[in-house]
Amino acid sequence: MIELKNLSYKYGEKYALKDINLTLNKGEKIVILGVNGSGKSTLLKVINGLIFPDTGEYFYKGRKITKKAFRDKNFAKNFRKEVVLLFQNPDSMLFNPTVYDEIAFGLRQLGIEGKDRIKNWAERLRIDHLLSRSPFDLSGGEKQKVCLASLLILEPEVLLLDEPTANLDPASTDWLVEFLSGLDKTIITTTHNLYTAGYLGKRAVVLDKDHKVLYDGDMKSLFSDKDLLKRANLMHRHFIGYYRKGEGYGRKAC
Amino acid sequence: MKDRLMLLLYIASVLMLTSVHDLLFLSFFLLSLFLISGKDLLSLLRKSFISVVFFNFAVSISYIIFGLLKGQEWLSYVVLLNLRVFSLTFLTFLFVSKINFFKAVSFSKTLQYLLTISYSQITAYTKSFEDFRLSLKSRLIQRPDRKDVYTFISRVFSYFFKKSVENSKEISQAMRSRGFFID
Repeated sequence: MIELKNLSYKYGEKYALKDINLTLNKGEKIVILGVNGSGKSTLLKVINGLIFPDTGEYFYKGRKITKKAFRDKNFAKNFRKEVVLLFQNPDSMLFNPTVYDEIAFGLRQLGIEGKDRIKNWAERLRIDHLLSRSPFDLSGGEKQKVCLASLLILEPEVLLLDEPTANLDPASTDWLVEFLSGLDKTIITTTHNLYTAGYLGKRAVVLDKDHKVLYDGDMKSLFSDKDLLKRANLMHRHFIGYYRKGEGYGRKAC
Repeated sequence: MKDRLMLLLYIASVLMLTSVHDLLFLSFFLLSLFLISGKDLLSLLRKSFISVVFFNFAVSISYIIFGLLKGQEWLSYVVLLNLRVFSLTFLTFLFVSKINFFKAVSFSKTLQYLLTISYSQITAYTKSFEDFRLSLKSRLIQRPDRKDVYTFISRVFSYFFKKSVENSKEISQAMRSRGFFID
């Protein structure tokens, strides 16, 4: 469904992604792991067609994704409906006066009123009591849910989540992880948190500090490779403690 | 040392550019800046043009209308204004591209503090603005209608205004807590 071939992206002179090769199949739930600055967010932006690789190629459903491809209005419309991105900071996504308008934004562009759909997604995300409120005055967790509802209402095929648990308290994290695991979609999540990674997907892709893919494979095998985790700077001493006991949060999840 | 000298030269040039009114002199000065910029000329020209175009356009149009209504000569003033603003902007971009600002103000801890704070704010705001832009792009299925564009712009303005006020408060508290202010 998604194929990246020798893909590189640079911010000025600095590499953000280097020689990335990835194939993602329909329905897969993948977790992109890596330390801050390893290129996780950039990778999601490339997959979302917001920025384009300097070298290499990106194919979505067999079609090469380039600036030129987006000039085809029909393609652009379908792509934006099918591939959606939840930004790390929900504040950058919210701009409508009420939560209802925020969720309705995508449908409105398609000329659909969809009151029932809005109500349904608001209920599923437990934000139905907030529909008339301004999205800017909500808590971080509530804002995250509003953003998620505004994306899911389009019934996308690919959901890209940039550090979705980074600003959440443990209870909200638990709820979100459980909610996401129940969604029947291709989901690509970035995180640097090993504790939640095991719950977010079965396949792990690790980016190293040189912005290359250090590991691509089974989450379980990743958790058993202590050296690799150390090399990727993903393991801190508390996790090593868990690891020794063989009861790591992530391991359990796998 | 080189950076400090360049800073002095920059300040002297700014003072000179704001006090000299001779069109020919300003033109030669700008031309020499073009020569100094070397291979960065095109990118600096582009940056400078984008930075001043709206300001210069608004001021020039206002002055032309005023001049026409009052029957005053306006051409030389408009050329002088545009030349001066463009030269100052180009000079600043050229200066920033050639020297290390942090080294240039290393003689004063206070200036270094202020520069670091300003720089971190600029970086954070640039990133936030880019996120706003990309998140809208990501959510647009088709061309947005005018109402959505206005709503988005006003949201971005209010976000940055609120964030600036909050950040200023927090930074001043942090600086106070570290003994920056003597009260």
